[in-house]
Amino acid sequence: MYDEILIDHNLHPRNRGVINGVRPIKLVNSGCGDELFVYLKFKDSKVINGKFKGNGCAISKASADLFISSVKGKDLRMIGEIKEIFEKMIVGEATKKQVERIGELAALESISRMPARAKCAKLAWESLDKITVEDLKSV
Amino acid sequence: MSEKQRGEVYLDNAATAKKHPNAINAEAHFYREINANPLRGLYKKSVQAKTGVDEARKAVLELVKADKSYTVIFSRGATEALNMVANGLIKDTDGFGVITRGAKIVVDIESHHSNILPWKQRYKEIIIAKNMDARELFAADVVSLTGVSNVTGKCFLKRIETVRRTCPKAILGVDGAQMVGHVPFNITRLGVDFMAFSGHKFGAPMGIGGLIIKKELAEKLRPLNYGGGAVDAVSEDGEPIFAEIPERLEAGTMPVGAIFGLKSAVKVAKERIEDLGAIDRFDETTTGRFIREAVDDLRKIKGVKVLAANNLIITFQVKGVHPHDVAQVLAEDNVMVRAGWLCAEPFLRYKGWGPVIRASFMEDSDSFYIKALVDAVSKVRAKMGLEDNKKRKNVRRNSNRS
Repeated sequence: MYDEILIDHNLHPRNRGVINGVRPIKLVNSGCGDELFVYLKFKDSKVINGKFKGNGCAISKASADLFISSVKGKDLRMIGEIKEIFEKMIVGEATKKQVERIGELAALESISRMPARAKCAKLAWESLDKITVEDLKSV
Repeated sequence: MSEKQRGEVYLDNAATAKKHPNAINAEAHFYREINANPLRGLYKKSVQAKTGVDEARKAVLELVKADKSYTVIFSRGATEALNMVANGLIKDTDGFGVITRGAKIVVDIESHHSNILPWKQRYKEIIIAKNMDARELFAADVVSLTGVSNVTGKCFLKRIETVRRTCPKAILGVDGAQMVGHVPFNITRLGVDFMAFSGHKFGAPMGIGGLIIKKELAEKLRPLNYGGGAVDAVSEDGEPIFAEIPERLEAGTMPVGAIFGLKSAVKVAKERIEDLGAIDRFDETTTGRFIREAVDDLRKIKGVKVLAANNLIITFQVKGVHPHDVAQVLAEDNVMVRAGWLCAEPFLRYKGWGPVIRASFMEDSDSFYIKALVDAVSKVRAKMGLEDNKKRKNVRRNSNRS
């Protein structure tokens, strides 16, 4: 369940922090007490920078860190494709080939065996559903 | 194969207790040998079903030492029982109920969500009492208290007695989900008007529990459900003539197999409670001693903070590791515990604890469970990378290179 990559991203997140001038997107998993703030900076529908802060379980924090790493430098269409595979993966419905395409995010594949934790893994990804037109104009 | 032979360490008995084999057999016996609807048939098996239900009702009343002024209304469990009473007490034009929606309802801060929400959603004024002082209790119409906390395991019999004396006119209720079947008490002497319980918390099947309630109050309760079995007659235009209590409050077919199982579990619990004699003697029992040892051992583990330990419950946290992660890591060692808000979020917030981990035992839990829990907890921080930083740093470097 807790492999090296997941533990490492929990203890040593690469994308922890805030981005000044960017609206924080608040995400809450009230059942666990997780509370994250995701910052996504866009230019021409492409994420040019991302950060997160907040508290939660190892899975929600590691997943948030991996999420930011995986969306940075990508446009919304490509991010949508990754999100679709990721969501399939954590319920055990992605093919092996699909999982290979999403790189380090595959560290969360074991969540499919623990449905109670799927919400933790998906938390940061929910920020994409809360992006506004104003957010896309952040640069 | 037994749980121990399978290497399973089930320590979530406060969520649902291990089922007593007698209770499982009794439920299976009902469906194999009887399987008839009580009340509905005039044949022998229906009578056997009805007799079993009556005997179970009697057994529950005997377990809590209720005198003839009490009855039992069966429900799915304590949650439904508390909803039944919260809903049934509201006075309306149908002739049921005794208080208005503006009545003052007091619950204690230790309450499970099931002793808060049934009131909060139906009444205008709910006091979640933190001190149980005169100001909080003043002019209360209903006081519904926790019997045993599902977070700390603490038993509140003395508080119940005090509130009864302080508020002689209030309707006094108890959420007995963690108390009934575990703790010796006398409901008649406590002067409690209603008490909710869940069979599955002390070895009976899931899906059966009830409301132990003064008959006088039950007569005034509005049924939570209407339908078959709850009426003596229905006129052509649908007007009911309601049945007597308890049937009036038990519309629809009851889970009779579970009721047979409940009767059996009550018998086992009654013998256990009689052996115990008094709740403050629990620490002197073999299991009580094992649990105290577990608390001592847990406290010795680096980063472990025991927040509460009473009776069958130990609640703790591990520094730097979210309770859900702790429970997940313990699960890898087949140690099954509960983590999170424990359906008592107001209490955990009030205490400033946040989410926690709870290990909950049974009266027959032995050193096997204690050792397995302590061993598994001692490995948590290392498994989460908190006690081997050198190795983690190497992983980070490699990961950054890729």
